Amino acid sequence: MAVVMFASSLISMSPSTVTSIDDPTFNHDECSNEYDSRLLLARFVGFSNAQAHEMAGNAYQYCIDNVDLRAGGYWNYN
Amino acid sequence: MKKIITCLIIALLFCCKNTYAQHIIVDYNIETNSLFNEEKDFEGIAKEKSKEIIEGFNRSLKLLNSMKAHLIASKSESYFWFENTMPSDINIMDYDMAKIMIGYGDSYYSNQLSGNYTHFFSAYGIKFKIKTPVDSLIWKLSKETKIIGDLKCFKATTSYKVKNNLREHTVEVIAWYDPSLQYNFGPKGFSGLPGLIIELKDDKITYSVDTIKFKESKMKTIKKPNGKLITKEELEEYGEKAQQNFNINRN
Repeated sequence: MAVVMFASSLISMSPSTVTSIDDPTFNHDECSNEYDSRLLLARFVGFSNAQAHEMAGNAYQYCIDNVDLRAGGYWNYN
Repeated sequence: MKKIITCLIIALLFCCKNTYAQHIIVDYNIETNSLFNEEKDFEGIAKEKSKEIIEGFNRSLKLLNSMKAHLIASKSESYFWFENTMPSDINIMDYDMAKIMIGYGDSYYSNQLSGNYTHFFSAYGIKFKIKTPVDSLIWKLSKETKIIGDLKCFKATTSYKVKNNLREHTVEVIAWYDPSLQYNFGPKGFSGLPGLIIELKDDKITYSVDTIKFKESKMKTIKKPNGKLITKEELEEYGEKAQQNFNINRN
């Protein structure tokens, strides 16, 4: 009985259980959306293709850095 | 009587300076005269997101108020460039967007003898230059005048088109020039008016003269930046390729 209780307590403390609840998904999909949205709006308000691409590319890179920072922070503390 | 004599002396000094000056150095202030106000719905973009982006554009536009620009000109040639005087303790993305909006790092060389102005800039990670005939800008001269500082300026208007993959945008330009200053140049390659451009409204940005220094020495040879000479059409081709590469790399 004690063995069973010990085993079940181990299962409930398993890191995989914690991770499946709290582990956020870190991917760069939101950054692609950021790029497309900025490119469209920059073109719409009248910037040239080159300026719009640069503005959107900058925002994309900031987004990537931000996602990577969040991911790095999460994995350092979990 | 004293006032009249003082005015005459100042006018005489100004004329002498203007007559004997070999070149001038002009400092321009930059001001944002309007903001983006787009209430349109865009397919695939949430309303809050487009609002957030436009607000970001406007924050960057406002930052341009703290930038400066300079023009060095003789009677036959000029060179115009920007100086970054924006505060650095601000949102880094707004700061970078502002630099892209104004074309910080770009410069413009105009030459009356060749009849061209050259725009030096970087795009898609490459340094370029584009030559444009000065007379491609059709100025409409007006008799309307405005006193700017001590200078009596005349109004001139023109427009140019910015074409991108989404739409063609016509930009209205208003220049105020002083015919008593026979340096036929101004900001961003705008030239060909019968006098120095004292104020220029180019879409949402206004350039206004802060100071003019008259130099009696000859203007030094301008060291122009390097750049691959291309046409506007070739630049668009570079853009298409850069866009394709970006799309491949992000997937």
